Amino acid sequence: MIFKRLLKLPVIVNRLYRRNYYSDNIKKLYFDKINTYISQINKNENDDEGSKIFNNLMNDYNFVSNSIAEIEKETSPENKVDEEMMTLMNEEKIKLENEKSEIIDKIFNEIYEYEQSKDSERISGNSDCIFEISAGVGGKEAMLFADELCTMYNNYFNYKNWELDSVDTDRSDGVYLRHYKATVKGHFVWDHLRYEIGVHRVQRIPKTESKGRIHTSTVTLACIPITHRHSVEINDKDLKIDTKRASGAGGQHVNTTESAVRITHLPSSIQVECQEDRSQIKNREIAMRKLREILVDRQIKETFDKYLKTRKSQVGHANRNEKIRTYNFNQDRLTDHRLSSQNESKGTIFNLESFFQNPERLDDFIEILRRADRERELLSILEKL
Amino acid sequence: MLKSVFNLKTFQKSLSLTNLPLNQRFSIKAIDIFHNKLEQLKKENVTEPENSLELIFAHVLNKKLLREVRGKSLEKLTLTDEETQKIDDCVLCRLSRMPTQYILKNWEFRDLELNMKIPVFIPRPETEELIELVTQKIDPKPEDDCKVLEVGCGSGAISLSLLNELPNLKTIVAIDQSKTACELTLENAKKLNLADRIRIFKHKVDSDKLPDEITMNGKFDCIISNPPYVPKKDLLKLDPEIYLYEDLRALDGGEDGLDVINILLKLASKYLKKGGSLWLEVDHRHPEIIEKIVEMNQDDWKLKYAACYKDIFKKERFVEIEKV
Ligand SMILES: C[S@@+](CC[C@H](N)C(=O)[O-])C[C@H]1O[C@@H](n2cnc3c(N)ncnc32)[C@H](O)[C@@H]1O
Repeated sequence: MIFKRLLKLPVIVNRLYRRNYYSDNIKKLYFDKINTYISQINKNENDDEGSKIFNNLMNDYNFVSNSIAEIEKETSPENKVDEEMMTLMNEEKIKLENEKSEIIDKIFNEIYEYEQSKDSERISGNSDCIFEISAGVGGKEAMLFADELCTMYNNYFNYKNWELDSVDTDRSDGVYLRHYKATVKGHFVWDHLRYEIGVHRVQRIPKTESKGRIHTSTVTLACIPITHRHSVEINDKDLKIDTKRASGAGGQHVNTTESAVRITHLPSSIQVECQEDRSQIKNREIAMRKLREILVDRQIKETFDKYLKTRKSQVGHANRNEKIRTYNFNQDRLTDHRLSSQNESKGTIFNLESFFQNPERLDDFIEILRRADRERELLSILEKL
Repeated sequence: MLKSVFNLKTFQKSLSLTNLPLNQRFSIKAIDIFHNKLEQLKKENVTEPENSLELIFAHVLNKKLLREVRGKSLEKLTLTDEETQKIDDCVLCRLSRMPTQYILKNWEFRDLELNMKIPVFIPRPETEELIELVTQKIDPKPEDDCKVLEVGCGSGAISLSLLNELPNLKTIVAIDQSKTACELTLENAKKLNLADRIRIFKHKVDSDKLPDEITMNGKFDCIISNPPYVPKKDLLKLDPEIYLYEDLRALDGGEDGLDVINILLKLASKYLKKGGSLWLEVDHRHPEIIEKIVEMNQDDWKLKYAACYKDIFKKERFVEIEKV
């Protein structure tokens, strides 16, 4: 079932073929639970397909386990096997052990996917996203870092062959990046970007600092999956349109050139303005487009917030205000606080310059986070049994 | 007007900058000139002083977007002598209350950039909405032979927009009483490559009869007009930009503003096909009255008051009348 689906997704298949997706520790600890899990599925008469997959995998597993047991029996001391034979058999055993580990991987993966497919409200990992970077604490330095992160992620999007839409950049004085927003479209965007949500902290001596002090600044990254084809209906009655022309008799009675338009959407009290064009009707069109975009964005955010509220327990990514990563330039390393809380070395990466310049490194790092998350979710499934 | 044109002080002030020694004139900062001119305009109570100046600067400096002559961008700009001189001239015109559109000699109407020429009526933004309504109602298919007549084409705004936005509309007949208006419509049609689809006649409608050359191809599916509709008593209250520079025959609708509208109703009754429609832009006090007139003459004219539409300022502005 799952493999048929996966064949279409070369990226994931590649990942799955890597050996030992899950750590040996977990395999040992939770293997017993697998039997419980599978017998539960077998009891469920409506799910023949599920049963079949798991039973096949279990047959493979049993076959390999039996083969290993046989080798162990034959190589036991009382059998007095000669040395050459012994080496051969040991090699065979190692091969079989690897195979066994891979089968367990597959079983775990199936359980994970099976649970996901049962969850009708789950956000598809393939969803496109609204991606936002905002400079946080730290003034210009934060804005400079926001800019660097922005370049890094843009390289990454490029590397992933993802497309950008509705890009909106807000720079203070036309230089410093205050805010960046774009819609990212492509293959499994949400599945990758969701682990980047949160506060990214930077520690370094800013270029602008004369006394050589280290500053700490922050940048917030938000990412919102687009789960529906959102659309908004805007009712003319709900709009208040202001122009310099609005008063008096209008029409032939007045001749004005000021074409700025301000539209207020009364139900949401959102205001948009446009004074880019000489023609008023053009300015109105542009303002309406802006308004529509804001309302759709809002709807997407609301859907997501609702989703977060109903399932606080298992979101698998940080909340917007959570500090997830620190880039320490003096020590030339980055620490991901989620990973390092489990294992110090796993959450640390050195050589920041190469990290910023090579999208493959970010990709590998995201892959580690994805695995950790998968493992965590799997544990919570198995632990409940 | 005399007062403002020959206001000597202002005049000298606007010259004074160009009277500076050459070396000082050379790298004059745009922002300084801007503030200096703004002062002058404000002092003379010229309407929309900032916007007028922004438009003049963008025009002289050949900038597409107003944003390029605002705020930070303006601070970075410097002007050559020639540019300073041009700005001087434009501001002088504005000080004598010439509408900015005439100073720039062109203006936008929907998707088109039209040439403007004194004293031909400057299109108003409300009329852009009339086109919106009409293009939604009549959208001929390639095989249709849809006939449209515009009365009072002015700069050509309405006719040329319809031709531009309705590619299947083969031709439009446009008439205006003013020779300059007819010439300007033709000039704009040529500039926009629409000249082969428009027939322009200099003619003043004053009865329920149209000359044969206009009607020789049969009755019309649609008559559209933004006729003069300003009531006589309002004329004197208009801004000097309008009453000093625009052709008053483009605005003057007689005692109650309905003179030309009344003629148009009769023409519609006579020259519209069955099911055809008359579209008018009118004063916001008119729709009610028009509805009554149409009702009163129903038996005679065979017209039906179909609908009235508001403009974005929520004023009743457009009237649709049908031939039954
Ligand atoms: C308000 S302007 C409209 C111009 C243009 N259609 C627009 O919307 O910008 C009215 C035009 O009708 C013309 N006009 C006024 N009375 C007329 C009449 N009796 N017969 C023909 N044209 C007339 C004027 O010369 C003027 O160009």
